[in-house]
Amino acid sequence: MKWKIKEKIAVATSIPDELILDTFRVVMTGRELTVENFKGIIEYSPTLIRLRVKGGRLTLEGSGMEIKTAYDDEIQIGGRIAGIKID
Amino acid sequence: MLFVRLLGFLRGYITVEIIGRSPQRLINICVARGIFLWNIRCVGEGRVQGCMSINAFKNMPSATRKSACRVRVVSRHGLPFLIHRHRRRYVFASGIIALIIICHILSLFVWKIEVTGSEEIDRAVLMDTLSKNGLKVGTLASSVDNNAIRRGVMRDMEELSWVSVMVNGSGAEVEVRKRVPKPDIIEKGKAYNLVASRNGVITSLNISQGVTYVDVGNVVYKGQILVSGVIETTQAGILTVPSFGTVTATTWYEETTPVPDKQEIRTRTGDTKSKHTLEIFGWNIPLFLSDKISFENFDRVSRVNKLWRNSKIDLPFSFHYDKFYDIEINYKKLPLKEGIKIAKNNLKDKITSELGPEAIVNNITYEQWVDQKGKLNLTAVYECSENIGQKKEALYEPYGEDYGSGEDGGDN
Repeated sequence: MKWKIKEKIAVATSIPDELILDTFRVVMTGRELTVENFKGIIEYSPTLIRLRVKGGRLTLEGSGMEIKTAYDDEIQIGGRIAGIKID
Repeated sequence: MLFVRLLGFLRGYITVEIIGRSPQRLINICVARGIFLWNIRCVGEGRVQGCMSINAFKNMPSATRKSACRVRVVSRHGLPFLIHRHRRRYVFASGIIALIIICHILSLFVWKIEVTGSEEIDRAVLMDTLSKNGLKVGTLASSVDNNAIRRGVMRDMEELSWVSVMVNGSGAEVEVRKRVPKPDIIEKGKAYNLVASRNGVITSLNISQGVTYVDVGNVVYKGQILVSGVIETTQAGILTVPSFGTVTATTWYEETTPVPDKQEIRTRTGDTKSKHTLEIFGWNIPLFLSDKISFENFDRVSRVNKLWRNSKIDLPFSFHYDKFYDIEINYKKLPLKEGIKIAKNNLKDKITSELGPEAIVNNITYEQWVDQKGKLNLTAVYECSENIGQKKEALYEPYGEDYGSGEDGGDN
């Protein structure tokens, strides 16, 4: 119910979803990927990174991946990213 | 990015290795507790390396216990560790402190004065004037009063119309503008005559305004009125006008000089003395004990070597080499022909400096004569052709305000 009200406000006011609904946002710039509103790291290896996000999991596949920076709600990942999967 | 790295270096950071079954759990705890981690990379099975600040590392033990991971310091980076490593090297530390103090002290002085603006202004004179008013290489930058220097330079150099002085760090920028000379202003209603600027014989007249008092072939004397600006008419009375025109005359310039009969021969005996000076910020530091030169006659050869002169920065350090050569002076008899040649050159220099800007030399005559002491003299007479008409205000007070109005003047 609360989710639906927030969703309606977001649609009505055109405010980005990640601000009101707290959904995750993925921004990829060159070989760097930033995930905003992430909740934690589930698995980390140079070829696979799995992140917990609101409403599911975000899986990154690639090679030589490393975590550039990690803040409480934002994580920056560098390296060769081959694919992104949302479960 | 550079700023972040610089900040990291100043604050210091460590690279740690997290060893355990699930290092990501420790990373999650750190993130949740606000412990900033960066450059996290996997180095093996259950082994992750990352960077963190010194303060963050102090908060790690409780997080490691919770995650069942072990944390090992791999390397330490940054200024705090560098200082800690060299804390007992007192001489090194004092050297660095001395370097910082010297750099700070040197930055307090003006190292370079850059002059921009009108190229016609003599830079050497300007630098002298700036120096007199308190701005020279070596002046304490904080003591420079821009406005006082600007006012002083404007007062001392009349050819300047505008000066700007700005001190930026160790450099001073001086911008100058040359004054445009005021043109001859002819006041409305005033009469101007053309008077002879020197004695001569008039060869041609080209008068466009005024009453001509002389004619071609007349001998005129310096100060004589050639063309008058006060015109008396029968109908309009007295008119006052500025005279315009060219009065070309033949003029003569005469100068006399003794003919030298002997020539000075300067021969170096081989004895030399060196007196070198080091100049720092305009202060001359002598590198010799006695200032006296024992030679009766000497030639002085000076050379200035600027330090790092090939670099773009002009540093205020220079080395002055002064070498004094002992000279023996002898005189040899000069042939008459050579003596006259020298005398002619001397006369040419003297007369050329006196000639008017538009004077054309038509003829030169020389006369040799012996004075009462028996010395031979040479007199040169330069015959020139030049405009001798010089504008001068006529001492006449017109009655009417209107230019050329002679109604009232005519009644007088």
